[in-house]
Amino acid sequence: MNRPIMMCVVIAMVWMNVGLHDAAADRYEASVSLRPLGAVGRITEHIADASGGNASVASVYGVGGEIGLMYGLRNWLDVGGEFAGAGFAQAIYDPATVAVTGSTTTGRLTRTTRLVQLRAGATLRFGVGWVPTIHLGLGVGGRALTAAMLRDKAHAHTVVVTPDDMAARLAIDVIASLRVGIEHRLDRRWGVGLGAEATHAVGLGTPPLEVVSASMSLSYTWYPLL
Amino acid sequence: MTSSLTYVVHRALVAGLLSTIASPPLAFAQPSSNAIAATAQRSEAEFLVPPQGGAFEAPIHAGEVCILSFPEALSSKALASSPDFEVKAWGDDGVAIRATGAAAKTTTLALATQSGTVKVNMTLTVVPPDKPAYTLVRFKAASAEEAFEAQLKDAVARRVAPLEAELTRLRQNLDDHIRDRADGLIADRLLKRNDTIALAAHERNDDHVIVHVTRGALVGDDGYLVFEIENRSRNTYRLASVRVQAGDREVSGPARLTSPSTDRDPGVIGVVPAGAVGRGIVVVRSVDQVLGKSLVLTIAGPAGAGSIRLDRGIVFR
Repeated sequence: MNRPIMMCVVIAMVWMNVGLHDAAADRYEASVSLRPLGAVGRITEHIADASGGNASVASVYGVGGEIGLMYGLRNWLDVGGEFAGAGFAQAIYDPATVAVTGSTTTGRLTRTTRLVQLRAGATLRFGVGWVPTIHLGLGVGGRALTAAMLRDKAHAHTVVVTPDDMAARLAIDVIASLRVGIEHRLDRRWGVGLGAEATHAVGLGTPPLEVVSASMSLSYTWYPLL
Repeated sequence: MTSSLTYVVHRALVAGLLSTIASPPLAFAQPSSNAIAATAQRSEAEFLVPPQGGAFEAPIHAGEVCILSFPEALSSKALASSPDFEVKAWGDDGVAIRATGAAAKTTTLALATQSGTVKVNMTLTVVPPDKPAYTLVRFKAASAEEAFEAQLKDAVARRVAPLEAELTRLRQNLDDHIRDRADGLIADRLLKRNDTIALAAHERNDDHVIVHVTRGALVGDDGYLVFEIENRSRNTYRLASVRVQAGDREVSGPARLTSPSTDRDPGVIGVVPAGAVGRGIVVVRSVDQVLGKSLVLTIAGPAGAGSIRLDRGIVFR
């Protein structure tokens, strides 16, 4: 057996030992978690792209954070809610063909998106000291879209305009999210963790938004009096 | 109660011993303890005869031959007090005896060896077939001290046997008595008050050992806190102390823990193996004085290791 394979086996054994030893978590406990995150968003706009399609997608970086409140129903199951917010860099669609005062115009379109989400979900927890987790959440969100700006260079001078139906507005999303991660219990109160999350937002009257993020977490845990 | 019982037994043993020592010489007429033990199984007996001679008793069955065996040759004459027994020489150093009928009267038989070192007077009694009887009796010359020691040992054994039986019976009665007292006490307390309170207090330590206080009970003048120790660590949790406090005042009584294994340390109440749950209970003394007050439950291992303190949610109402 060569060395890389041996290393993989050792890592797998360590993972099995420390992560999945007792396959249970924290009944009756409540925890509040803070998760700063870095994200990549795929933002879709209903605009004609260079190939003639009716939708263009731009990938942009963003930062944000989440705060979650969970309660342990079982040693392996937490339920709770999360509030998330993120801001993304300006999305650029170039070239973009849009309508301006009813006339078709092509240029460089930019728009910025910010979002807030409120999700409820459940977390499967598979450990005690080291806790691998799988979280599934559903919720609603608001997406704040700035007015799109089109720079048209086809004429003698550059014109910056807002295309038709692309003014600043607030869109409502229905959200599904999936997060996997691992947490480490530092003591009876504090824990830290890492996670990777994928969120899909279906807009009501707006194009979908997909976000992939990586996060760190700091959590405080206690037994509430219920 | 146990100490008084021990005293009574001690007094009885001493009294028995003294009466044995003070008993008349006929007390020599008993087989040694070894012989007694053997008699029931083999119908044999061995008598130790002191230099001054001894008087012995031997039960025999009618029609059966009993051999009296001596360590040396007998003198030619044996004196019998009753004609109901046949007495014949059995070699130089023995005598064969047979009762002629069940109605044979008790007789005495005087025998002596030629050297005179063994002189005995045997009392022969015919007993029914369902009673033990001898078919072989051996006589052995012994010093006075040996004979006395054997006799004393036998006498003590006979005295102690019924006392031991009585002691066993008293112990059994004592256990029953204690059980009855405890049951009665519990019944009295349940009649006075019997309430259950649902509690939901939880706490853990840094080692992933969790305590759940699930309910309290008010029984009579005392209260009880029922708790679980959920050991989610990789090590066995050894419970050495359970304390209940109302403010600065300790109100806890005895504590118990059911667990699948035990610990050699007598200071340990119980152990909870890794991955297991142990159920425990602790008594809260004079619970009326702490009704409505927040109680603090603290459990810990030996030397306070792995302590867990629950200071919220434990109130008897």
